[in-house]
Amino acid sequence: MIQELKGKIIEVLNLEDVTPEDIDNDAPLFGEGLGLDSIDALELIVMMEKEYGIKLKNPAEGKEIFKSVSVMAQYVNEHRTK
Amino acid sequence: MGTNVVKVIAHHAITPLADGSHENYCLVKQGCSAVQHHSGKDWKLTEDFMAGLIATPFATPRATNMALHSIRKAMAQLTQPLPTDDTLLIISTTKGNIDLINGENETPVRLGAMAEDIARQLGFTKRPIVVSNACTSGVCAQVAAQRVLQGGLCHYVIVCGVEAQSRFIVSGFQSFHALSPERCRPFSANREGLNVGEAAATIIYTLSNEVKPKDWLLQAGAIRNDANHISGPSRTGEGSYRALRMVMAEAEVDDLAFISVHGTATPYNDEMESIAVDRAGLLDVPLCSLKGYYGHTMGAAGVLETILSMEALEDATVPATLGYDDQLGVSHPVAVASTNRETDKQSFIKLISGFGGCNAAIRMQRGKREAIETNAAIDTIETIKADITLSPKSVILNGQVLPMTKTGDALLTECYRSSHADYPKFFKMDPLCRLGFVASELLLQSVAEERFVAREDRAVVLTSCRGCLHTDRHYESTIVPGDNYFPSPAVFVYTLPNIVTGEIAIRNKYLGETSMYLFEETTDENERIQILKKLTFQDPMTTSALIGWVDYQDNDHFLAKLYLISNT
Repeated sequence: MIQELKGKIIEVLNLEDVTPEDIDNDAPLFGEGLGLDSIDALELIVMMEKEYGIKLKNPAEGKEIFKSVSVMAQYVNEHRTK
Repeated sequence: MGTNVVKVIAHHAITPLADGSHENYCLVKQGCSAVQHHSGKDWKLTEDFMAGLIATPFATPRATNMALHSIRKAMAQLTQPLPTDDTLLIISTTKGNIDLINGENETPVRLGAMAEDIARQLGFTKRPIVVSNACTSGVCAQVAAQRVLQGGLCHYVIVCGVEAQSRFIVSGFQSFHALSPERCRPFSANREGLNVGEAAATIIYTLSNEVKPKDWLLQAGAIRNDANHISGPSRTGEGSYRALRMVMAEAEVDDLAFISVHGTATPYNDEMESIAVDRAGLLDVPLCSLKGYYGHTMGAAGVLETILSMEALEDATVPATLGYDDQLGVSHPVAVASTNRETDKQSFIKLISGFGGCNAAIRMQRGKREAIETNAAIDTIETIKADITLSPKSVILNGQVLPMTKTGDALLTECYRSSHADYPKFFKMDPLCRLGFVASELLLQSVAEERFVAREDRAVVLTSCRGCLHTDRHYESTIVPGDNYFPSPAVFVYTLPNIVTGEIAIRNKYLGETSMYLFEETTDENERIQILKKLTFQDPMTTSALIGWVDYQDNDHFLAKLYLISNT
């Protein structure tokens, strides 16, 4: 799941020069490293719904879920409906 | 004889509440709201929404006919028949007839073509101008009106702001989680977002040296960029603060009755405005947001809210901020109120901000002549410091053909790589922004100047024919009704033609003016450049500008032709 998520993150956020190895499993997704912003967070919410059928009612929940790819993977595994 | 002033000679607004400026104001004064609940199902959306929608059936193309209605009603108030040969039409809109995006003919969706259609139907002989600076368009259009009048391009200007709502726009704001599930509550602690609305509003301006006590004068206008983010309001209120500072340069704070703020009721917008108002030293001036009455009417908002502000002061009233619950939810103690207040002052500011980091303000004053500060350099000869022409098969920089191997979209990426710009955001941009970005990057790298230092003296003023039509189609593909309905916020944000000017401002830390004007391709390039120069160099702080043309049709058809010009 972690590898799958990394691939999808790179794809939907157009991280052209980033490889899955560049994304640390436990580093904050919205920290310094990847340079992601608020639009990227919204786009990840769309991705979770489109790919895994997870609908977040409140975008603020994303803050917890996007703490790291590991946290995100765990959340997807627990909540996915497709 | 004195200096000429820019004054209002007629205005009209049609909204869901009423047809007519005064009729609208009377309902505002009573606290009526146009914002109602609408079923998402009826619009093939997954969620319901609150909006202010006009019930009057306007024929297709709807935005065009809304504008025609309002302009005709405004012109009918005048004793002299307009348009004369020296009357210019300026249309302000963000998405025009975007509801026709799936039609076979793209013409009504092109904003320049929409304006030419309106101008033709009304008998204008001058070519119209379209201002599309996201939600600031209506104020920017009035700034443009002031400049074309003072620049001697015409004697009358008809400014019409128009926005028709569509599932395109509503789904986009839903994808941004920006819509309030209830009527919006500007500046309140419990505000949850904005409501969208629709309106057409028209103001007719003329140049005159005669001022009567009842005349409204457009005294000052400014447009400034945050150079911060394409959708997020600046945490320092940078552009709004600078626009306020510009329009207050020659004015006394004590003369201001109120500031008609943007006040969309999103958490970040209202907070940003409170910071900007504080930084500008205007905390004691009453504020009012009109969004609770109409929702956010986008391209019409700047014009509609200017009209209502004039009507309110003619009635000696600072309008209540409908939806404000007296629990201030911003960090700076701004003077917003839930009830109408009396005033005997005769001057106000209309402030507005929008995607692309743009902010704009105008200051209106009644019955009092003020010497208008214009840039003495207007008539000096501008010099071209550098130029670039970028098309799918070639890049010509300052007369030299650059050796490139790729074509089309791949050429844009090759330009990015060859410019050695370490700016991964490039890959998130839509094609129009990529085109404008790499062209500006190569151009600016070719001149000897220090880059990436914050500066307010450089403007970015571009023109386009198709604007973001290519990205509009991309976004539309994400909102096909059914199982594949996943509106993309990252695509939606690029469906505003001015974003390219914002991207260039952010990259270069340009805090000056950014603007996007749309013209049909058939316009003569020299004519466009002359108009751009007139529009650009009247800002007293602007000494150089990146101006030109940026148009993207598809992989095989695009053109950027940019100039760096200076008046020093």
